[in-house]
Amino acid sequence: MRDSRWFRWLTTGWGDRAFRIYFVAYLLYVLFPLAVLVLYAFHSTEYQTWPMKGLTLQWFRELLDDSKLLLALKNSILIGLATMFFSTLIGGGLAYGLVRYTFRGKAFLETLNILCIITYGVVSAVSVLLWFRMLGIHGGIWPTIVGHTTFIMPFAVMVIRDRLLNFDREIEEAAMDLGASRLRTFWDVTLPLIMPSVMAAGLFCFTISLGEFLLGFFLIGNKVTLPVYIYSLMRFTFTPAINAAAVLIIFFPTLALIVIAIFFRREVESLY
Amino acid sequence: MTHQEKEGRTETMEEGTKKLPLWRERLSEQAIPLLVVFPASLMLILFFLAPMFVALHFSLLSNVPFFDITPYYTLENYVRVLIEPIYRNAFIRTGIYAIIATVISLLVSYPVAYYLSRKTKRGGLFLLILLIPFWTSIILRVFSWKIILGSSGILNYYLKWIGLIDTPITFLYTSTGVIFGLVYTYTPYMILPLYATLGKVPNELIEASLDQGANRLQTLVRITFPLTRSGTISAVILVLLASFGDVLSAQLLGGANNLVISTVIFETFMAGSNWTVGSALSVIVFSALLVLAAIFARMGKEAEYA
Amino acid sequence: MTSRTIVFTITAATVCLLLLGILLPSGQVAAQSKELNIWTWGVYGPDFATKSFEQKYGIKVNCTFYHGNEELWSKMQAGHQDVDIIQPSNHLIQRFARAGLLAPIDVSKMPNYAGLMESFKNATYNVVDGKLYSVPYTFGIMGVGYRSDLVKETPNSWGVLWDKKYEKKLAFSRNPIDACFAVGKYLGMDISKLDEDTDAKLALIKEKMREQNPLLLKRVESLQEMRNLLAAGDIWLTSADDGMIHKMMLQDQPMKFFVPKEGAAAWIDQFCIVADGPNKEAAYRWIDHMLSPEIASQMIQKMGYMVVNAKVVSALPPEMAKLMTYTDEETKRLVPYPTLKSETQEKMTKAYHDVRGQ
Repeated sequence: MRDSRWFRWLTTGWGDRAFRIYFVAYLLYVLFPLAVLVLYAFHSTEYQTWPMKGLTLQWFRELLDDSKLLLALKNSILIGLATMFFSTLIGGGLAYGLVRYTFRGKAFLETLNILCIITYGVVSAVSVLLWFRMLGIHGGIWPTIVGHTTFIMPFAVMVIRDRLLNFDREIEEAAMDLGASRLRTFWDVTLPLIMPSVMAAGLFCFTISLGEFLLGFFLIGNKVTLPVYIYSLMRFTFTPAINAAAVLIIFFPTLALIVIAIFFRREVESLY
Repeated sequence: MTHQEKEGRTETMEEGTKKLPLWRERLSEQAIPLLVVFPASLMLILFFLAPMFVALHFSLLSNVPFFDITPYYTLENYVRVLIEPIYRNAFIRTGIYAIIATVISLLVSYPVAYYLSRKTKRGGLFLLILLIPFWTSIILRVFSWKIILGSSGILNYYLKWIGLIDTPITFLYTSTGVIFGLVYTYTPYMILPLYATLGKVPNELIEASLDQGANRLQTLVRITFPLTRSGTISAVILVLLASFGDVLSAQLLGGANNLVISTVIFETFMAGSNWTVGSALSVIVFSALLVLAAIFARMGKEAEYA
Repeated sequence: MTSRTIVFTITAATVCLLLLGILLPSGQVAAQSKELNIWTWGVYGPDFATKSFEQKYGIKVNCTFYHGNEELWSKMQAGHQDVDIIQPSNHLIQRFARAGLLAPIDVSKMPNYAGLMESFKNATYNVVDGKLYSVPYTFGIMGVGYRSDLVKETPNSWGVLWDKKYEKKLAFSRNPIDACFAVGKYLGMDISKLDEDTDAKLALIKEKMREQNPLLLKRVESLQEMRNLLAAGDIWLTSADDGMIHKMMLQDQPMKFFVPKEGAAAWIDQFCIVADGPNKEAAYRWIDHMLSPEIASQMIQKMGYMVVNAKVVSALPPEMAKLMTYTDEETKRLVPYPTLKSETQEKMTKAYHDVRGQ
């Protein structure tokens, strides 16, 4: 009896198991609000009380009638792609320069970079608004892209820098000894090696840009980004159309992630 | 390409083998980093640093110079911020919320990060799963806590059903709600760096410690904690400062008496001509963040060299 | 395929999308004459109005909402080159007009203007240098609304909003100038004279508002939220527009509204055409559309706010007419929102923020 497998399962490994249980609990805690959001998208009344009164699809209909949501989505995706592109490019450059070289002002740049991340908030957003307003730049898509890139780029720097620091320079040096120019070395040797983190940085930047609220709110002017639109829905609409929007917003990225996981399994695995 | 072919091409590759004139080599040493780093520095200086000075400029004006009233330079905005109790109180309150939220966040995140980095082979994958909700707007997720925590919401319903309470507990529009929202928003920001830094603790050290007879807890305290101290401090700084600047939790889950400084700044730009006071507050908050960051950076450096 | 190939494909696709996505909208500049951009109060952009307008004229209507004149002012400060119509209240028209934000209005372009009640046509608050800068739309009183089933008394004073009995069940206006007027009235001031002794009077107003701070539940984001909180019983009493409360009453909600004995102020919301707005033609058509009897009567029925159209007002269904008629006594207590100096309005906004912060 004492040697049976289930007995052993019952009495040992609690240390590890506790961790696993805790992690699952945490995961549920993170995902629970999403489930609630989705659930209430089908609630038949406006008032979000529990238990639910009934099911309906009317909020989806209301939402699809509202073309502003699709516009907001389109704007957010455009801004996200642009931010991803510029942040990774510019940030990657900064990371490379900071890691591989020493030059005057390096410490200054590093400090600036970190400060940019940690002081991000209302303060940064309104300061940029004031600056743009003073320059006579009105709100719109491109000012938002500039704002997003400035504050999201440091994340790309962080990710790429981490990777750059952690691999052997010897490979690069070997390539250069063999006669490759700096540029060639970078292209054929360094870049493939840091590619996973470049992709991760890109994805990271895109994601942050999609969900970014403050800069978008102040810089977008007459147009809308998705978080700004949701905020306005929350203030002025107060119907489960918001939840319906949430369902759509949750559904598509999850689908995208599943697609990535299936078709790009190899690249994903190389990430960790 | 085979080695031979590569060797054959060496003659055509100038920079690697042929000796370049000194000025050209030095130029390329100096030029490349500056070139590569230039766009980023331009962006940071132009759109991060410069705006701070613009905020300073506006904070010293009496009115916004856009329409009808001509402004003059004055310190009255700072005087108002110092005199009127609401600003002081909001500032202190924000600090308290941030500290509490960070502590709770640390307690919640550490085991998760520990599990992901040490106790499972697929930590990276699980981390990605954890980050999926990031794709959905944080606004929505905090908003849904309104449904869960409301007086007629899910939590209260089951508490009543179990019989624990008779009248619903008010979670929303209180400081509890705000802190809850902060913890929820920022634990992922805590988990990521903790995960990274915990991953750097070499397995051999842990095993050696266990071999020497220390139990798991002692290993944790004596080995893991000290080794991850600087990483933890960075994570704590990040979350502390981020909670300080958070707007959404207080707006959605907080009440009239849970005013945080970020809401105040946000509101001054939303409603009317108080952009000057908002700028003054921004300058003060930014300076405070700078000071805090400097203090923690110093602590982090000391921890690293310990 | 190598990861490099993937990345470059994605980059190429991104760049193409960007060029298409961001350059294409510039092709929409020509389409702008087919679009109308409106900034308005949260409750003023209803579907019945926009849909019928779009059908009638083929012009798309984009509504962006705000809550409060101060928020509108802030939005204008942040940039106003894309908006055609805004809706400030009467006491701000002078300020907006003198700041060069508004275009003068030619009423001959709006046939429905003739249908307005006479008293609204010959106002002074919207005339600058002989030119008319706004057209009235709705009007109402800011008084007190409450849940008649939850509040066991019949209050008649502003003071009920300072009653500790109702701690955390109260809400108050979050628009600085509206709030200052209300408190000023509570304190017995003549709010049309706030230009004189402003600082002293504002100090008193601030003191009174500070007393109220611990009693408030939360800052209310919009009229919709206020309705929701009242319906859910999270707040019991609040300063409110009469129209909103009347609407809830017509929906069989247990609400009551009163004009406080100390007096209250009445506002008139306006239509204004923005000076550098892109589509003035459409703007005129929209205002005319909204002033038409059909839309105006739907407005009253659906939103509960009184409109300025004479025919509609006289054709109100009886239960509505009963609710919306005030006794002579009540009417005596009302004053219109006064147009004050810009400096005074700035001071009021700042005073409010110094007390409430949000």
